[in-house]
Amino acid sequence: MSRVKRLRVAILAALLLSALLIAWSQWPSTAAKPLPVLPLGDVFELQRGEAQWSSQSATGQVMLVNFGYTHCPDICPMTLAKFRAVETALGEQAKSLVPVFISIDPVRDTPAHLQQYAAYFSPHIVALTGTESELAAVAKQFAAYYSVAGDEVSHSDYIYLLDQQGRARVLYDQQASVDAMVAGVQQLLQEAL
Amino acid sequence: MKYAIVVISLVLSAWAQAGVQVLQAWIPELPPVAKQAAVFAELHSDEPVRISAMNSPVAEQVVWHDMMNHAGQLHMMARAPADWQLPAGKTVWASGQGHLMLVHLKQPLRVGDAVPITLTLANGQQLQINAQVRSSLRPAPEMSHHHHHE
Repeated sequence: MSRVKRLRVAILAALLLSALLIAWSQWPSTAAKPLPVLPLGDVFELQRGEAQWSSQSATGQVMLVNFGYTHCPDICPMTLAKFRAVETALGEQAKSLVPVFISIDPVRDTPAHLQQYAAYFSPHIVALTGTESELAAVAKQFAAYYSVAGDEVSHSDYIYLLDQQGRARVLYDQQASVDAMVAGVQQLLQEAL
Repeated sequence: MKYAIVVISLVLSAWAQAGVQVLQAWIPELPPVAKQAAVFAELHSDEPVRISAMNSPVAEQVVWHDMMNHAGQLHMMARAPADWQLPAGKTVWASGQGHLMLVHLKQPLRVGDAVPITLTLANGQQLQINAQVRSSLRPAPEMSHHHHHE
């Protein structure tokens, strides 16, 4: 083989290899990337109706957690409607999901009112509240921000996806679709198998 | 002829002053135990118009809330009635931007209900809004017009 011919073969081989590498890197992955463990959240205990509820009671199940209040105009009812839609989409798998709504407005949201409000969307939603110091502690765990002064309310609107060990794995903002949350829940359920 | 033109232009200018349009007024679905409800809408006004009063038969009070969203933090605050001003052009009461709040609901609002709200403008005119209660997750239906003065 002449020197020129060898060079041509080498260039051709290099081109072929690059094309293969590009194709491989862009090939859609069939397995979703593992979800990271976020440095947020911990075991928490708050009031559900008349009783105390611990997040440990959901060990082995996946949780979706959101902070809000029932006088909230849009985001909170929309989040609860999303929880209901996620449950519906999951079908049978919904028994492995615990949707949690934490009211940061304990003055207006009595445990009984909160229960009734959340139950409209789904009887499976765990609606929690607590004393101001308990709520502040849980919000701190999740780096959630809130302040309530009568009608003037500020709060962060993220939805946290917690895995079967209670570790935060995904932080959804309000733009996140129901489909994205369903996929997140299913991925965690799959991960546990 | 001149007289007719004057009359026509007076009529036209009166019509322009009254030119407030309300598009797609709606209320996100809410539980029967909810004590207040947000109303979203898009308003178009030809010129700045002050709202002197807002009423609805389903609520004890109707107020204007402003919303701000900074990096995932929502801030909601009531606007003083003295500042209930529609600027010329578009005013959007939309999720994350602002809304009317029906405070102390007198009755549960159910999906499908059309809730009447009356805005009384500073010039005495009344603007009727019919806000549809609907699921917050479904896309908005075809644009519905509520453009009515009394």
